[in-house]
Parts: sequence; C-alpha cells; structure tokens
Amino acid sequence: MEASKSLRWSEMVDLVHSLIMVHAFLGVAAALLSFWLGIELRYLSESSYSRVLKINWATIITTWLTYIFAAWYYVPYYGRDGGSKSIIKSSDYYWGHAFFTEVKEHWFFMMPLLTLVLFILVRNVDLTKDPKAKKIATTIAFTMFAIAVLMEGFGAVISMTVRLAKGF
Amino acid sequence: MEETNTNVASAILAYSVTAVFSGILVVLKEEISGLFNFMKSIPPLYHHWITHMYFLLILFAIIYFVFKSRDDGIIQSVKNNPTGWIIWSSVIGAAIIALYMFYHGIVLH
Repeated sequence: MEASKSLRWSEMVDLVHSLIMVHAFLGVAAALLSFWLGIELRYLSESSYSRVLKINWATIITTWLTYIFAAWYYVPYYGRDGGSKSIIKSSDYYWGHAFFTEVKEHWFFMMPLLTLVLFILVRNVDLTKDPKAKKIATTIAFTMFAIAVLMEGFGAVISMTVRLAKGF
Repeated sequence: MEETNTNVASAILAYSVTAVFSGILVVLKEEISGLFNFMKSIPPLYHHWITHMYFLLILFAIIYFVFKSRDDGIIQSVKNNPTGWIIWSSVIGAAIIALYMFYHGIVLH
C-alpha cells in the first residue's frame, strides 16, 4: 500500500517536472522560431516565401502551446499549498515570485496577441510585394524574440530562487 | 510605398490597446480585490491568469472588428507609423507591469 502510494507520488513529481520542461522547451522554441522568422523576413525573396510562411505558422502554434502548457503547470501546481510559489514567498528570496514570476506571467500575454497580428498580416498581405508589411512582420518577430529572451532569463531566476529557498 | 492594409492596421491598433490595457488590468486586479475575486470565479479553470487572457482576447476582437472597416482618424495614425505603435505599446504595457510589480512586490514588502 505504502509502495503504491509512493509510486503514485513519484509519478506525479515526474509529471510536474515534465510539464515544466515541456513549457520551458516550447518557450525556447518560440524564441528561436521568432528570431529565425525575423531573419528570414529581413532577407525575404519570392523563393523563400513558402518557408517563411511555414516558420510563421510554427511560431504561432509554438507560442500558443507554450501558453497551454504554462496554464497546465502554473494553475494547478505552481501555486498549490507547498508548491514553488509558497516556498519562494516564505523565504528571503520572495522577490523571485513577487517580481520575476509576476512580471513574467503577465508580459507573456503580449506574445500570443502578437501572433494574432502576424496571422492577420500574412492572411491579408503578400509580404514579398509590400515592403511596409514586411517591415511590420519583421518588427513583430523581433519584438516577440526580445520578450521571449527576457522571459527565459526570468524563468532561470525563478528556478534559482526555488533552489535557494529550499537550501540547495 | 504601399499604404498599410486596413485589416492589418486594425489588428495593430487592437494589439496596441490590448497590450497597454493588460498592464492596467494587472494593477487593477492587484488593487481591487473584488475584481481579482471575480476573475477567479470565471470557469472552467477559475484562475485570474486564464481570465486575464479571456479579457484580452475579447478586447482584441472587439477593437479589430470595429475598426477593420474604418479608414479614418486613429487608423490613419496607425498606418502612418505601424511599427511605432507595436513597439511603443509593448514598451508601455511591459513598463506598467514591471514598475508596478517592483513597487508592489519589492518596495512595499
């Protein structure tokens, strides 16, 4: 009985860790894809347009998957009693949550909203024929990249404060 | 150079307003407990962070559909400087959140 209980608990811990890693992996993928998109747009040509559209879709899908996996992890696990949030908040490293998590979770909203603009842009305009639209798409891609890189850095700080709060 | 498509200008306007509103909503939900509790009462996940996104998507959709058939005033302003609208609204929205959380979470701690 005890063995099966501990097995279930270890499976649960593995699941939570998996969710964090999937979330972090998707975040990095969204950052890299938005950077790649920005570079491809900067040097856009007729021959590269179909590739740009594929990268654009990959960026949009990855960003929304990041949100879904973030919700999957943060909503039920991060804030639960005894979870990372309560561990950080009750320690000397409270600022890990009070500033970095709060800013990170709310800055994130700009990313999926920017993908909506990208989606509307590529559905309405041929970027190879409209330099102004190409400049808009490039700006969106690099803005997303800048936000994503900052958020990855914040994520690293949050992970560090959890470890420090636990005394590792 | 071609003028920016009205649908695209409308989407940029919707993004810009929504990005700044998101920053303001962060402040409001932290300062007004009734609003925070209301956001936590919305199904299916009953979490303010999920409801926050619902609000932003609804606002984005309203602004986009209201302005996509118009071609005057503010839409012309977006068409004149679309990248400026994207960058500055992102900076303002992000700054509201960061400054408020620094003050609320660290200075007032």
